[in-house]
Amino acid sequence: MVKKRDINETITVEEGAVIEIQEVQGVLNPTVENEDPDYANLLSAIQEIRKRAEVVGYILKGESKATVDLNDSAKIIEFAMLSSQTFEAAKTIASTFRISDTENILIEGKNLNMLCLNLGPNNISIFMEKGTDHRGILRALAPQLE
Amino acid sequence: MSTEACTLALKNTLTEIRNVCPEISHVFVFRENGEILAEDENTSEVTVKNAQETLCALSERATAVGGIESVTFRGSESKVNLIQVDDLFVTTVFSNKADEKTVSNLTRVMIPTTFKVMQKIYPSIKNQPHEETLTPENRIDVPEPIAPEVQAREFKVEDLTLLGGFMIDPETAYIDRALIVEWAEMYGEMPIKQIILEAPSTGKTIQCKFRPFREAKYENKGIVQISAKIQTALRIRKNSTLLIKPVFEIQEDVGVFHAEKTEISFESTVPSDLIEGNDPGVNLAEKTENSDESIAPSETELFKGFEKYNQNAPVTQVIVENLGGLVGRLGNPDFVRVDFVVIARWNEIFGEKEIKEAIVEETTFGKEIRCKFQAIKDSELEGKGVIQIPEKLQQMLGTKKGALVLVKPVVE
Repeated sequence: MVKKRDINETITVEEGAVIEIQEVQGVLNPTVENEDPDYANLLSAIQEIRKRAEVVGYILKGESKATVDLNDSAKIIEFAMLSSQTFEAAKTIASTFRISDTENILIEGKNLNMLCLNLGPNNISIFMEKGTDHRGILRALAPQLE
Repeated sequence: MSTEACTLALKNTLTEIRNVCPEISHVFVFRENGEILAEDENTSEVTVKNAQETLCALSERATAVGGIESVTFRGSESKVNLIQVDDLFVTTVFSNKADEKTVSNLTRVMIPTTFKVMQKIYPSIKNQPHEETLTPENRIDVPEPIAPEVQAREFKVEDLTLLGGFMIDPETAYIDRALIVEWAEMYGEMPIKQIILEAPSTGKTIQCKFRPFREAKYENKGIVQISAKIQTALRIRKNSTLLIKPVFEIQEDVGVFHAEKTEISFESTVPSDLIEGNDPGVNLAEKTENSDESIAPSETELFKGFEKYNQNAPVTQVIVENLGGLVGRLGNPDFVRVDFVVIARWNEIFGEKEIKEAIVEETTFGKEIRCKFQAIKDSELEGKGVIQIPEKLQQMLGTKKGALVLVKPVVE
């Protein structure tokens, strides 16, 4: 299944399959078939957040698929690796300091900020301009967090 | 590698941070290169190592966002916060009940400030070279060593008590052990045997020997212990500011300090009290660049007659005490009694060389005697900085009980 978006790249990861990158010109209505409802809801919420000017992209990774939407498509791999490393680090840090499950992680970079959330099987990484108030994004995602 | 002083200062700061904000359960600092600088008392090294490796790995991946300024892992009960200041990573674990602003202020202000202060005191902390293996391709020929540019350090003057202190040389400045270690780190093989003391308030400078503090309580306090004699010569007193610079063997002449300032030179092992009389501050070998007149003759002439001591034997200033007991009263002893600690030190310095006699010098007129010595037997006099001299020898020296004399071993 391929979800399409105007101009932006869409990556769909099928479990055990090769990452597909498809660049699409034009708008198509995405069709969602047999999709995890949580994933779909999250995707919908993040797409709304993505419309904010200060949000430069996101990575939504579910159990069997991932959706990446970034302004700077050349850095997809770097962002994906940072996202993955952050969730790994969260697990280690949580066990090292015996803190309960990590609700969210905020990385303030020198150029960009990244907000990561772990929602069951789904991991979200939202990239935004430096200085963006991440609490606004958290509030927007609040219904999904309950 | 950081100095012990820096680690200690940082550790104390971390402990204080936890005292101020008890909701902080762990706090530690490491460098970008992974070197762990300090952790609070509550945090084990294993914990720090685990966290440091994880956070360093994360930092390496953070190029996509331009490198990490801070990371916050937010749990339901507590948070883990990492901030980067220069090449330092400060990690704090604190309860959600803690006031984030307080924690942020403490970690973002106190730790970097402490570190910056330490960098000012010990610049080598900042400019530590990264270890590299030299290959034939990148190896370069190093020219002959030249005296490096050294920056003077600022210290507060503390009195050097001579009467209570034993084996204290009034012509030696007592300084931080950490400073000596740091010089060794910074200047490697450049031998440093003397230092230059400069009083910014008076413009006076002195070159003298130095040793580490005899008491640990003075360490890391930013002070230098100098005798009243040196203070007088520099025209400063307790709590005055003093600049200290190392003197390298290859620049013994210290021309830079001769240029515009008064320079007073103490020869390392010879007690200038013997030469200058009772008022050393006034009569020290002093010369001024602007004046052709040399107040004292050259060093060679100054110390003429003392070559026989010139075996780097330590001079100890001690107080005369009568030789009591049966030996002192009934006999006619031709020996003095010296503290066993002094004797032990002589033995330590001269190893297998035989020391059978000592030279005792009276400090006012320079009279001296050479005689045998024994260890003080009266335990009440041990460690008191005294020398027991029989009355006959006191008369020969022209000294008496309570006066200061200098004692030095005769090394065979």
